[in-house]
Amino acid sequence: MKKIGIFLLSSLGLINPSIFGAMSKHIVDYRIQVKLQPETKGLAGRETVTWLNDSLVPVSELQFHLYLNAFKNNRSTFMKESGGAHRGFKVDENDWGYITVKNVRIRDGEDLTSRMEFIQPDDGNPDDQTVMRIPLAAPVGPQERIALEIEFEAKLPRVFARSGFADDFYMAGQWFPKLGVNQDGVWNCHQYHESSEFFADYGVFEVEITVPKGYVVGATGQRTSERDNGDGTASYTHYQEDVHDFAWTACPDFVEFRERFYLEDLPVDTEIILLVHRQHLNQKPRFLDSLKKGLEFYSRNYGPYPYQTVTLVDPPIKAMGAGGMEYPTLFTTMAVWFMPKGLRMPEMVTIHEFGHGYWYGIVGSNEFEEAWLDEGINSYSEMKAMDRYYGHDRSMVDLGPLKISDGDYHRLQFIPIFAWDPIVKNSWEFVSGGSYGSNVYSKAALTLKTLENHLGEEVMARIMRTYYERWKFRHPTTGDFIAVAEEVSGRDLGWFFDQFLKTAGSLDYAVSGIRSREEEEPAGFYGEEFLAPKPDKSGRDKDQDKVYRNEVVVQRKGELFFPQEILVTFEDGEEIREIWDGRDRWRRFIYRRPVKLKSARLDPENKILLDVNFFNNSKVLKPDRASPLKYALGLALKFQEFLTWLSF
Amino acid sequence: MKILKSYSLGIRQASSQGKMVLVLWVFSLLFAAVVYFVGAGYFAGALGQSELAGNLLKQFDTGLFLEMLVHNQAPLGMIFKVIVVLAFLYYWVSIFLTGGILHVLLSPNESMGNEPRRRRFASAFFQGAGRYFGRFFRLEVYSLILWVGFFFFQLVFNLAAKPFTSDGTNEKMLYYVFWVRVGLSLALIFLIRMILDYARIIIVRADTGRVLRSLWDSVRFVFKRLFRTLALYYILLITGALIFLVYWGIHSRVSTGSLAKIWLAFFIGQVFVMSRGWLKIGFQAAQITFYDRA
Repeated sequence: MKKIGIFLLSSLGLINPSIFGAMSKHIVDYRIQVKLQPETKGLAGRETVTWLNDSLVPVSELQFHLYLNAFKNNRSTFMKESGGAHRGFKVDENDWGYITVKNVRIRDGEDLTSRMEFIQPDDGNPDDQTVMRIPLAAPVGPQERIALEIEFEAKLPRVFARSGFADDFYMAGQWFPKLGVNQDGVWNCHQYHESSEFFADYGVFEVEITVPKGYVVGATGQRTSERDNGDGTASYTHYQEDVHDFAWTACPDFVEFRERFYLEDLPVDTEIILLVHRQHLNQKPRFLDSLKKGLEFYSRNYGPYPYQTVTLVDPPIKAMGAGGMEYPTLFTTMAVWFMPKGLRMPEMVTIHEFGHGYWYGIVGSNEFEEAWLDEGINSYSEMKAMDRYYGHDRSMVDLGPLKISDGDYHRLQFIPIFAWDPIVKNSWEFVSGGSYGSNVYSKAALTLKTLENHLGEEVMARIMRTYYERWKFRHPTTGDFIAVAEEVSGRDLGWFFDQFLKTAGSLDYAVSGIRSREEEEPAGFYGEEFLAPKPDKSGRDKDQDKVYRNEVVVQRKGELFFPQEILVTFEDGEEIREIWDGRDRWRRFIYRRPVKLKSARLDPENKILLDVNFFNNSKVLKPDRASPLKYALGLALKFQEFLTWLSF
Repeated sequence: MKILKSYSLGIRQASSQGKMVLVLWVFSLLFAAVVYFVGAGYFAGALGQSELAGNLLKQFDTGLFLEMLVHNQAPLGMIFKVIVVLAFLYYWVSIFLTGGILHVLLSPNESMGNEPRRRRFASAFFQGAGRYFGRFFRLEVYSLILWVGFFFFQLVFNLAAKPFTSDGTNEKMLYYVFWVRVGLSLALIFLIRMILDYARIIIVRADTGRVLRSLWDSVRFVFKRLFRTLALYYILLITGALIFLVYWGIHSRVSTGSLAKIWLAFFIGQVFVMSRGWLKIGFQAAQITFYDRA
């Protein structure tokens, strides 16, 4: 009787979810009713959550995320770390957000309300209330379940970081008491940080959302029912299995578009739902087209999209802080009415956020501790998709002569600030948001692209597909990714991952010297014999062929190493390719030829995208004077053009 | 008719002032030369002996170019400061030169005297430039009154636009309001500059030191004939825009992948700069004609 509300379930059925037709092991089961109160920007909610102890040890407490409390005051960990700003959007100090658990009890059993307490496992900040623990009177045994009934109230903040409201637009993400992940009896339940996203367990979500009539609602999963409550409100129920979070949005200014998406040769049949803000209807074709491209690319390259729906949410301009965020089967994109076609921000954001559905949604990466497994792998995937569909040299910007690829964009993000942190690190421990972004997104994406160039596209494709297939609906670690990469490629890649994921060092190779010197005939003492110098310094007749000592010195300037290929070109067009393991600090190559060197180039195919400086990768014997002239004259001419406007 | 007559006379007069065009061009080139040398040092240092210099010569690669800037950020601030200082100096030099232009255009016989023809132009031009610079400088100071009006307009515009933009959700409205603001602001800038043009003409025509009075006379002159003065000004502006379009059309078609083509593109650019000098003289000459006949 002490364990009222705890259900013993057959471990056999739970260990093998496929017996029930599920794709994931259902650790959690949430049944939630929530009502939006527009006048107070509040939420009134009631949830029943059932949790399975999937570990081999009894668990004597539960830990919950109460993430809306990140916006409760200016001393929460998130507010302290971020300074009240996120991606350039600032907090409105008149509109804080919070969540209050009013009551929690074991179903049909003990009231646990008085046991609740806030904890701060990451930084000990006593003002942070984003994690709550509830000690249990009796532990939950291995493979047992516990069901709790929770009543909560919340207020949404004016949106500047993912969740909140702006006028009558509402984005409810991280809005309900959500369980952390229990790993081997220990809770993995981090506070809400500036530079981190989320981590939770898979299960079932059934959520009934009540909003004022006339609001258009979008949410994770499929809509199973909707009803007019006759009191000026309407309720919509959404249901989804095999996800680890649930988000919803509501706004009377959304225009909803639905379209089925099939792939003939793959088991993909899903409903695309676009919630386009009335102000951005001109952007709808861009959203739809890029989402279809994303669905096709990820399905073909990693695995068929497994859910019945995917919902794109287009926030209004005043709620841009909610844009560019992923939730299971739902994501927010970003656009403005006057976005030129050549600026592919809506396309990039759409493909990127949809892609998170794979690397955060389906593969349950821990974004607190190893964010690159989601952000980095997804940026790599996005880069490939953008290049594939929009052109490898212009996938991000294509405005007249101004062309920037997604790869260029990531290099420009990576070069200036990567060296502060390694890629693999707790997200909140990066020196700054800039370092987090540079490493976790861009450097990680370039690391994988460099690996692809090193191993070959086909091998890398198999690595990614195997990793996805093996770890979908589970929680992999960096070690699991490396193991798959080594297994599939059949190579020891420790040297690669240890350097590029786990250290902050730089990779920089340079051609530090290149010269051609005419060889002279022997002169001086050779044993007993004295050879007098010949009048012509080269020692040869004028019509005799000259011989040059051609010398190339390559240098490892950074701390990290990578095997190098060097292309040496001579004036007569002859080319020699040298291989260098790249471990020593420098290496010299000498060639005796009747012609001079023309150039030497490291990494001639630009495979090593982690090399921080492409400009020192090559040297020509005769510097090109025309290029500086071109740009200097161009600058002078632009200045003159400006002066003509200034003085007309 | 008076407008078109003034326009065509102004253009004709500008076309007969080859030396003046040359002087304006030389000054522009001198300022540009400083920028060139600063830029040449920067690009030579940034590109060094890299093979990528050749790639950037053949084709402009935005990503590569930006990467070069990222690797060589330190001097950029200095280059920017040099450009700002030069632009500021050139502004005053152009006012100095305007004195010369007006002096030659308004009193050709008196100023040229009996000196040899070549010397006559130079001495007349620079004599005028020096003679009126102080007055034009004061005019620029007094014109702050007009620029205060310009900023007052911005405030009024903000208030007027507020009902349409305050909720910040109607993106189309925000977009249109932005462009209306740009259009009206430009129109106001043109109006102020036109008033200053006529004020200078009045100063030189009367050879007067009463600058504030001249500014006031110019305001009265312009507002009494607002449509006609604006029409003439905008016809001249359109002429400038057409010249720019022709230049842009030609210049953008010249690929700069070789040394010869780089110089060709630069030469075309210099022709454009000269044409702008010619048009500047045309502006002054046409407005003088219009002022004299009004």
